Amino acid sequence: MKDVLELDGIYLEYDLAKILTGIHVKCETGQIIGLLGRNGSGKSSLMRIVFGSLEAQSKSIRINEVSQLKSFNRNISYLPQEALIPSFISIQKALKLFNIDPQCILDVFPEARESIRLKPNEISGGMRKIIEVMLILNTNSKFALLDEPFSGIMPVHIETLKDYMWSKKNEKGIIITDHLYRHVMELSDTLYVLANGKNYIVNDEQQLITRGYVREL
Amino acid sequence: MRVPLTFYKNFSVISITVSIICCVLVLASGSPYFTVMAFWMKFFSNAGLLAYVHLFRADQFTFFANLGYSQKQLYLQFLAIDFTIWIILNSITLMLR
Repeated sequence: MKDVLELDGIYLEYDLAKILTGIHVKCETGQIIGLLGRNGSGKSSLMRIVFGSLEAQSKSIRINEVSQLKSFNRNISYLPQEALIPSFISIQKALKLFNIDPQCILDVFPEARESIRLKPNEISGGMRKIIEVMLILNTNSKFALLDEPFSGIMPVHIETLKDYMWSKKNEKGIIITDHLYRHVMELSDTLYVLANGKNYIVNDEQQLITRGYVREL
Repeated sequence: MRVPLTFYKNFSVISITVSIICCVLVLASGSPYFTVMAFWMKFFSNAGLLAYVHLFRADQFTFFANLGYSQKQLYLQFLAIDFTIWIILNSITLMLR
């Protein structure tokens, strides 16, 4: 049976500036939902609201029609834009806390073998990001929210990650946002662009120009 | 307890050092009543430590939130672990006195 995550009625404002006003997103396990939008359009805020680390003035977040009133209930995992694994924890220890076998990362990225033994601040930014994305994709959560998972990663590894995300969507629903929009477009089953606090479905790439996200395709 | 202990470990050096200083003060003073003063010293140092974490190290909370722990839960468990250590160290100190 498929699990369904639904978000709507989300209202967020900072100092009278309305950030999110009319959001409706539905994500099922087996689906990748792409979110694009200009800087400051509220993509990261939306993810943090869904995860529970940011309070909105109003929100309705449901999984299988059950309201998610408790934050951090482990049905939803979240990769922030910033570093995920604290610098004082070794990567091996972090994976152990999530009951993740390091081998599932090494099967996809054999070059991560040395990095896994180290602390996150002792490895390259790109490798750190790869390990963090892999960690989130291998948690037991039904849904994964990925905020800029490709930033700082070299193209060949982005392609590997995309293939892995594609294989993982059988187990999870994934919501992804990244300014490397071509990758997001390739991955997404449904693509939205956030503008003026609302989400608009993108059926035609031209809409990205109309909504002011890109100048040309 | 693995997750709260991991969070505690980050600040254990400072925290246990303050506890040991409290014990040394109790031993040096020679009075068990000094334990009350040591308790307040411990209380305010922990308040300062948690305020520092809250204001300047908040980025690490997303990691623990992914494990199902809120900030409040982590703070409470941090205090529970730390005061348990403090009580054990103080009991040993009072026995040694």
